[in-house]
Amino acid sequence: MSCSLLPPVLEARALRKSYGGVVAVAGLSLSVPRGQILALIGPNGAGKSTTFNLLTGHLSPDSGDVLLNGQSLAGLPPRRIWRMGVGRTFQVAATFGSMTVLENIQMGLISAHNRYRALWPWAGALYRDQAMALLDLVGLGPLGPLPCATLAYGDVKRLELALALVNDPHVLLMDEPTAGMALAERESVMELTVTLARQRTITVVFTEHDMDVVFRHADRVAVINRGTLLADGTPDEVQQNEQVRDVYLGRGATYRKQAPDAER
Amino acid sequence: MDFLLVQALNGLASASSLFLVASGLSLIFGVTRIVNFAHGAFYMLGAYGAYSLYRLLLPLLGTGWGFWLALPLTALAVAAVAALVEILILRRLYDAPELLQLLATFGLTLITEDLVLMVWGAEDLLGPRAPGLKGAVSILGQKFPLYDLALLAVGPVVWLALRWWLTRTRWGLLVRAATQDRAMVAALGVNQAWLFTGVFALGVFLAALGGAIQLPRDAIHHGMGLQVIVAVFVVVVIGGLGSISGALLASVLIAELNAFGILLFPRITLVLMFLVMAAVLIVRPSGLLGKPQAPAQAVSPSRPWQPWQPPVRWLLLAAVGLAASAPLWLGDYRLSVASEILIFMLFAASLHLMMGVGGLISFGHAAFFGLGAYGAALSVHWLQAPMGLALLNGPLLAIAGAILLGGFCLRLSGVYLAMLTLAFAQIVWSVLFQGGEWSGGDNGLLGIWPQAWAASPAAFYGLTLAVVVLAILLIRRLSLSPFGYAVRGCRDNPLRAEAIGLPRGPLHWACMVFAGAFAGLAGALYAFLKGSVFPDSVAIPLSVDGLVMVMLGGVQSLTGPVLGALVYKGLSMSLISAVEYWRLILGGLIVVLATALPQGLSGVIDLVRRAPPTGPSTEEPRP
Repeated sequence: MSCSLLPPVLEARALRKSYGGVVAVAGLSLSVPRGQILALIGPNGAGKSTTFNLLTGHLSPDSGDVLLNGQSLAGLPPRRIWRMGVGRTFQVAATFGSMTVLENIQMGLISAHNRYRALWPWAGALYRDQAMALLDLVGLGPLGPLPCATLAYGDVKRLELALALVNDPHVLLMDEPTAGMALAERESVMELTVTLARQRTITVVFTEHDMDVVFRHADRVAVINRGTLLADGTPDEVQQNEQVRDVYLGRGATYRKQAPDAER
Repeated sequence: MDFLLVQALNGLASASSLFLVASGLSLIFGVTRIVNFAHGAFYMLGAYGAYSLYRLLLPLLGTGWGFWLALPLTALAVAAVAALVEILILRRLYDAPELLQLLATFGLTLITEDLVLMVWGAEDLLGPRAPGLKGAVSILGQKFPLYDLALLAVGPVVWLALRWWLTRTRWGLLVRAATQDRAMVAALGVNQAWLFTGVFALGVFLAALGGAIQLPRDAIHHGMGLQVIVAVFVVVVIGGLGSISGALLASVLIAELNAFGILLFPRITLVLMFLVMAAVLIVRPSGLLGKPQAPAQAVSPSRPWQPWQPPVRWLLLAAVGLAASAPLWLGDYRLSVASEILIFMLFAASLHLMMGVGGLISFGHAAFFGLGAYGAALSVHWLQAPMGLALLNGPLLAIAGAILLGGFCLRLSGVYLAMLTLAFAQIVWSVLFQGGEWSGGDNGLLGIWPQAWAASPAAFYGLTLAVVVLAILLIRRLSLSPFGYAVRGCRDNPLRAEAIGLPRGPLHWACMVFAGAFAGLAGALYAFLKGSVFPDSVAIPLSVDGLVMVMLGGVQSLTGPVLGALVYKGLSMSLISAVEYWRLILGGLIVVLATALPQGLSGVIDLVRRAPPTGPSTEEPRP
């Protein structure tokens, strides 16, 4: 691909991870150039969640390395990785339940400005305008004073997106960004994510089950199966790939083999 | 050598009773997630009930049948009472925050204690010897009671029976399933209500039986419930909550430790049990055979905190004004009562900082209070420090304690953290109790009076009011500072907190240190109010008082605990002086409040002033 000529922002080098005897990721390498939107897909149990968690620092690899702008992330806790400019969202949106929508963002901004140790200022008065601006950006402007627990799930996802943007990340890692949402909501949240990423040249890596979302929004699709890369290319290339079709749809071989038995 | 063997057997005999109670507690926790504080009370009821039932059956059945029937029948009767309690009270509380159930069962404990006093009186009672097992056998030349030898077998037999029941019966299968995943069992169409009632009754049956079989060994008294519940908490935590085999292992460990501790380290016997527990928790945060638990929720994080609205602000200002004018219309005695209430408001507020803001449940908050009191008293007693310096040294000692404890606590959460704080408080208590000359031991330190300018009750009240109001405002400021928000964020959602760069461990550690400092300040004031300090100021009842105040008032806001302290301390102090059976009334009130007002007293205020949730929030967040 042409874009691979640019220096990679995020790079996975020969990642391996196994649980007991089960090899979840078997020597996987990936490099993501600046500003690219990459979807990690694969059937259940293919190792994409493990790969994702290796990228975010929630798991540490048995061997191999993850590099951010050429710097190794090995052994760093997630909070350090965040401070290096990697935002993330979770499959089940993670927000602060005892805070209002606005306060959630303020909390993020306080941490981004490294002021979470401050004992004296009123947290509720800090970074209000910036927080409001971020909420407006994701379309939650009027909901600021609401308790975050009263939001509809789609709005919680938007809140999480805003929360992921508080430290102007240059990489955004999203685990199933549209899981648990209604069809119409999926489109609009993904649309928003892609627009924001393009505006701010954020590199996005996301895992996803909804193929419509993947093929409509990703610049590049990486298919993982049995812990290795099965295919890697533009959505069109991957869609045409025979092996990918086999993995997702099956060849019908099982059916053919069993069919005669069924007649008996 | 022979003596050691007999001592070991002695320990094993005690282990049986301990195991019965602990396995019951463990079963109940595993299925219902209730930490049943009343378990000790049921144990005590078992002992007293067996005593009376035996005397009732004696003329009808004679000693043999009378005794051997009295034990299981009593346990059955107590279990029936427990089933009733579960249906009437606990069933309403399963969806409430975990600590509320602890509060309700604590109320039950208070009620039982007074009922026992009413029915059986305050004197120790001596039970009958066990018919047929009165003699002693000679083991390597040492006499060993036959009954104790029989008790040796009870623990393993009950363990085997429980194992069989859990693995081979349908009911046992359900219990195991519910221990692993309550929601799933409910989804499969199992009637949870009766499963819970059954398990609760069974657990209590074991506790009551454990109490009844103690009858021939020891005198029974109305403090035995509290005594055993502490030991049993330790056993269950060491063994791992919800693990029956773990409970067996830990009861043997603890019973042997007690049996030999008396021989080897008579000076620190009381600490030993808690030292072992602390050591186990540090190495294995879920106990020896326990599985990691989902963290306990002290608070259901659903409602954002709100800044004080103008009417509330005026109301609070008026309250402080009223309090400040108290010396004009209150006598000396009532002023010192008021000072005491103020001190406990600060104590409750400091506990709230830890529990409400940090989500760190503490069963041993009295440790910081006591360290504060002793810090002040020791500096007056040994260094002749002036009051101002002593009031500073108290919190400093508490801070040192909190730094130490916090370092050990970083990996723990939920009930396990609560238990380690309990252990810490017990260790501090034992050190002071057995400390000898420097701490005054049981006799405490006397003559810790304020300096002349603050010596009159009115002046000391003024000083206390000023310090307490200032400290509570500081706690509030802290809770609403970026630090407070960060601590709360780590409580709300550890995953998200980590993902936006917040270090949970250090933040919670710092939160504990601040809470310790304020509790220490309350303790230091208390020392000067009473003119003395005793190991009591570190003891479990005080920690429980703190929990009750916080839960009674409502853990959601700072107003709750302060209000809770006012109501609880006011009530208990006036009840103690007015009524003989004050525990009964207080316990009843606690149970009623816990079931009727799961949000605490401040929940009522909320209902009254419920602000429209969607209104534009234009007000500046100010105090």
